[in-house]
Amino acid sequence: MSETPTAKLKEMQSNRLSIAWVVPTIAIVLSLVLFIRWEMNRGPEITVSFTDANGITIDSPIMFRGAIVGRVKKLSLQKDNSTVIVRARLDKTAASLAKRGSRWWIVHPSVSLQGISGLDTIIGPRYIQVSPGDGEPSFTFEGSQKPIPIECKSFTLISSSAIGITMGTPIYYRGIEIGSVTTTELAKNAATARIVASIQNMYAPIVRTNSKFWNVSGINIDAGLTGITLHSAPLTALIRGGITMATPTSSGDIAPDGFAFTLLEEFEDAWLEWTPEIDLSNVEGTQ
Amino acid sequence: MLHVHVPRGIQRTVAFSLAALVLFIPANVFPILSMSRLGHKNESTIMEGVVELWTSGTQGIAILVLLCSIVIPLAKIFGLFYLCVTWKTHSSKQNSLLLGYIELIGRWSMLDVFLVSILVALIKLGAIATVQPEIGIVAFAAVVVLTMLASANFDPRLLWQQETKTT
Repeated sequence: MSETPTAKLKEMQSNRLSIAWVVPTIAIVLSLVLFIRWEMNRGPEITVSFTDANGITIDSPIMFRGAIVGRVKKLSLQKDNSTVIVRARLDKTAASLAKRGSRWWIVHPSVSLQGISGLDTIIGPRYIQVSPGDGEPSFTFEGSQKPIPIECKSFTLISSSAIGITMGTPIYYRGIEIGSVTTTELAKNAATARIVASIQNMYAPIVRTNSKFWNVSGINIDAGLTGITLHSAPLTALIRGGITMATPTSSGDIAPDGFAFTLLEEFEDAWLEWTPEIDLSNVEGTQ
Repeated sequence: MLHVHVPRGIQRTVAFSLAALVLFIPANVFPILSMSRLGHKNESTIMEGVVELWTSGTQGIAILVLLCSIVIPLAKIFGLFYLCVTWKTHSSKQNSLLLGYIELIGRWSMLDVFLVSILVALIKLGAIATVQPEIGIVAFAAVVVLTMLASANFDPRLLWQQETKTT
């Protein structure tokens, strides 16, 4: 009984292909389809270096216009510990966000006198926000720590001391915040304090070469025979300091970028009555 | 016609094993499940899961998962290949033993699929946290089913017959 079937079986095995070979063929095709689809959906990998990762972790999302456009894949320290290098994979559709001039920053909850921001990241994960540039494609970036600042013009204020003035101290013109202090540092010879004031571009034409800047960090009380005069800055200025500026009615030339002013400790009442008419409607042309 | 053996059984075993080996690659490259926690989506492949289990201090479970989902399926596939190539020439006693082992360990490789299906069923907390199966686990389940088919198609009587022939 055992001999005949054995011979028959061997014959069948060597001569005819089994229908089962369809299965590995399907498996190969399916795997290829999966890999091709995966490869097609993969966007570019970008590298962003941050001085502070602010709690970003692997898989933290990258957001643009409120949508997730990529994810952090790897975090590592620069060799000299100076920055954190974040590697992230962008979605295919978001590949155009990786361009020279793109800005990347980390959104985290921040409560300050300027306001509350990044509230969604208290409960949700922290994320990297991107603002696309318009240069050629680029894959390595330097991260910014803050959201994009409004386009600003910088001026230098020279003062004997920077007491009450810190980064973020607002600059007012007629009680309206037109800019803020970005840095306070000692002058090269340490004789004065150097304060860098950034004025939003839309307000930049207000600053003239003969403008006056003075410190309003505090309350000024003049008590005399005729009565008491009280000069007070806005409440927020009382807490975080403030600088007010005024431009004479006969205004001078528009101050160029980096122009240096003296920061005065006191002001003259006449300055408050200055009413120069400055056209702010055509800001682009004044740059 | 009377078939003593499953016709073209060896071919089938080789075909199913090959299919399993092919699908083993996407099963390990693609994520098997994704976990969303407060909008934070986290996908993990089998190997990432093993590494995570290991670093989080549960080395025992890490080894178990590694064995069940990578070592055992691979051992099964290559064991079947070995049997298909050597059933004519090698000692059938040794091969019978090997087939026995293959059948025995094969049961354990479905563990991952069970794990994912249980997790998905358990963790459905709406917006707070969800677990979703991903394409990797489908490929993995296919690998397990294919290895089961492959070993079922290997007729152990082929080995006995060899015994009778050599003696």
